[in-house]
Amino acid sequence: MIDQGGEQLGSAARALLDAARDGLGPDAAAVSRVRAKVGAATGAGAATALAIKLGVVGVVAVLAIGIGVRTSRDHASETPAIDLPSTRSEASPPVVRPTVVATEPAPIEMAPERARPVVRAGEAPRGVDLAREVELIDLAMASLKSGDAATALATVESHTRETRGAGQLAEDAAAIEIEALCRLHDPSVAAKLDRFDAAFPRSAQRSRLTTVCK
Amino acid sequence: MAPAMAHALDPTEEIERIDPVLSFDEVYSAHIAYVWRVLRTFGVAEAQLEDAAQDVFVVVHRRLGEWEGRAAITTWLFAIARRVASAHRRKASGKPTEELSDQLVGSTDTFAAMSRAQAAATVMAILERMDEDKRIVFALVELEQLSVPEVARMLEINLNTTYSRLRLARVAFEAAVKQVKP
Repeated sequence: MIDQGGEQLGSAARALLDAARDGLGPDAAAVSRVRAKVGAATGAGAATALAIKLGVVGVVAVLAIGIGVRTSRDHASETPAIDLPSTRSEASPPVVRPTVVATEPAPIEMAPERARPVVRAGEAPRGVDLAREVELIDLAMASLKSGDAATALATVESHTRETRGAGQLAEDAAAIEIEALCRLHDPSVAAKLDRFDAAFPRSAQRSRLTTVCK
Repeated sequence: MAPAMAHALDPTEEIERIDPVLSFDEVYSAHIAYVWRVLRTFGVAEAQLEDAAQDVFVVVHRRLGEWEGRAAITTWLFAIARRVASAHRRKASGKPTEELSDQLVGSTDTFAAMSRAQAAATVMAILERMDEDKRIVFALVELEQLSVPEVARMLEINLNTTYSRLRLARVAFEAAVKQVKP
């Protein structure tokens, strides 16, 4: 039996997180400053240089020596190794030279390579295990992210059918379904949201659904 | 042509894309806040956040063409931010850390009315008391609202482990919230 993450957060904790979310991000000035500095570091052109002059006076970066960032993880070749600036001063124009020595981060798999069944929405019901659930949820999520809400819905339907609506990832499936319905402007979404709230009253995904379904 | 457009992929290329191919500016605008919070969650000090975010997006700018949309952009950004955060933390190691208990302000009855800055400081004070493994899972699920399977893949850990960390982190967070005094 999989651990489901225990009790959901209470209303006070949820309210605190909701109130904190924006405050944990950068303010508008920081967003502009970082964008300008990235532009300067990557030679993004005159507009960025002007932005630097206007908005980043006194914040000038220099690097003489990069710090090689490599980890000992097995997947080091999948993510970029980066040489970061070790010092920043006001003496020289900003120059950042990340040295990329690795290949791109590849999609991360849940399990070691093995023969994975091809998942197709609408498959006939069969015995359900967690790996199968994860597979279906993965497919539904990927479909949603690629803009294919119809396939996402069909995959969620497969998940519901195979798990008889009682899967360990039922909350994830329900959230994906609602998000897909919202993207399709399906009129049934309001009722689905009501059922979602009743079934998962403290879901961490609720505020995301509110945002998506505005 | 905008620099980011130079990264556009051949639209005829047959690859399995999870996220659509995006320009640098699209990625920056949509995900700077996410990257910023991930850096925070990995313990990058407030004063270093801008530099760290810059380092992340310099890498993004240079490598966006290689991303190709085959992984979720958040997963790719997470991997870069994680490494950048590690480097910044290494640089900052040895510096004294702030005393966090004084930052626990506000009433549990008034969280919704707290300023974003107050709430952010309170949440960070709580998160920084967790060990990193639990903090990362908690932040990705509860703050970034990613699904648990997605987080398990990002962290390359077992799904059950992810749920276990989430459960323990939720308990710790709830306990800390109850201790917050007006």
